Amino acid sequence: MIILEIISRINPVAASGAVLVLVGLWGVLSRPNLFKIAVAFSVMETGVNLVILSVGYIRGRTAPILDSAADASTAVARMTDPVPQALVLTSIVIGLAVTALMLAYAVRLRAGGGGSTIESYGEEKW
Amino acid sequence: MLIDVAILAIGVFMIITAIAAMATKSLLVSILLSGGVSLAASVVFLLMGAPDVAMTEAAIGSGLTTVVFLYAMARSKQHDHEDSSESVETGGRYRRRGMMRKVMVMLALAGFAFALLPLAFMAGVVPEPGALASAYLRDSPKDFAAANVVTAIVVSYRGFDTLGEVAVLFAATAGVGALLTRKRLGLGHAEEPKTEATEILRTATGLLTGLLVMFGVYIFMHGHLTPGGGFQGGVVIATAVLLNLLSSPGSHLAHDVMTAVESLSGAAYVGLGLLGAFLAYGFLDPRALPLGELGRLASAGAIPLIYSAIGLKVGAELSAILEALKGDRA
Repeated sequence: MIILEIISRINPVAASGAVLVLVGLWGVLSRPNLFKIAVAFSVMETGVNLVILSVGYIRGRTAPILDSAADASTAVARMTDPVPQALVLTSIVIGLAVTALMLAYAVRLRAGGGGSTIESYGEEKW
Repeated sequence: MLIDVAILAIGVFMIITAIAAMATKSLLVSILLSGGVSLAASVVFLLMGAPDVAMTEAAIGSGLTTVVFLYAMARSKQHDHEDSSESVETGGRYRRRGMMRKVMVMLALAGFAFALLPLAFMAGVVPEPGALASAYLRDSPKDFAAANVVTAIVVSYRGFDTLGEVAVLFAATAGVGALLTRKRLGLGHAEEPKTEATEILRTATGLLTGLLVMFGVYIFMHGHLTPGGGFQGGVVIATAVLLNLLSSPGSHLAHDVMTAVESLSGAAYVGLGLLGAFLAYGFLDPRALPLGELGRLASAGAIPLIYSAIGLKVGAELSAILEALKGDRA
C-alpha cells in the first residue's frame, strides 16, 4: 500500500504536466525539423496548462458551476478553485493563435526556398 | 483517490504518447499523436472538475490545432518523412556538432527538471480553495447572478484580461494573414488545380453548416449557465467554416462579411464595457443591465451579451486563420 501512500502525497495533475513540459522542451531543443519544433511547442503548452491548473485541483470537489450538486450556500465547501481554470481557458485559445503564427513563419521560410530544418537557417542567427 | 489513480494513468499515457510524437520520423504521425496528448489532457481536465477547460482543450487543442498543422504541412509541400531531402547535406555539420549539442540539451533539461519537478511533486494537493477563490465562489452568484463561476471570472472579474487576450488573438491572426498572402509567397495568380470534394462531404456540409452555427451560438449564449462560452462557441462556428472550405476547395471566404463581424463584435465588446463604466461601477461591469434571476437565460446582466460578442469575434478570427493557411489569399 506504499504506492497508494505516495499517490496520495503527490498532485497527479502537476506530476504529469511537469513531465510533459520536459518532453516538449526536449523536442524543441533536439528536433531539427521546423514543423516538429512547432509540435513540440504545442506538447509543452499542454504540459504548462496542466501545471497551472493543478494549483486549483482539490480532491473530491465538483466543477465551479451552480446546480443541484452545489448551490450558492454550499459553493465554497463543495467546488474547486475557479481562478486557474479562467486563466487556462484563455491560454489555450492564445496557444492556437501562436501555433498558427509559428507555422505561418515556417511556411514562409519554406516558400522562400529555404530548407525544412532549422540548420538551413544558420546564417540568420544574430 | 480513485480519480487520482485515473489521472495518473492518463498522465502516463500522455507522456508515452508525447515521447512517441517527438521520436517518430513521420511528421504526420507526430501531429496526430500530439492531438492525442491534447485529447487525453481534456479528459484529465474533466476528471479534476474543469469542464470549461476540457471543452476548450478538446475543441482547440486536439481539433483545430491538428487541422492548422495539417494545412501548414500541405501548404509548404513538406515531405512526411522529416529528414528526406535537404538534411542529407547538413548531415555532416550535424555529426560534427552532435556531441556538444547533446550535452547542452541534457544540461538544459536537467536544469529545467531541477526547477520544475520539486514544485510538481512536493507541492501536493491543497485541501481547500484560497481566499480569492472562496470570495469568487461566494460572491459571483450574488454579484452577477451567474451560475458558472468561471464565466463570471473570465467576463467580469477578470474582464480586462480577456479584452487583452482577444487583442492578442487579433494580432496573431493579422500576422498569419499578412505572412501568407499569395504575393508574399511568390505564387502569383496561377490557380493550382484543386481536387473536388466528394458527394458525401458536399451533402453533409449543406446539412451540417446550419446546425453547427446554431450549436456554436447555443454554447456562447449559455456560457453563464453551463460549461462553455465565447471561446468554445467561436471554435464550433470556425468548424462550420472549415467544413465549407473543405467541401468546396475553390471557394473564398467573404472577406468583407468576416471583417464586419469581427470589427463590429469587437466594438460591441468595448461598448458594453463602457456601458458598465457609465451605468454601473466600472469598465466591463455587467451590472449595467438588470441582473435577473439566477439560472434563467436572460440573467447575469451583460455577461451573455459580452460572451456572445467574444464568440463571434473568436469565430471570425479563427476562420480567418484557417482560410489564410488554406492559401489562395490575394
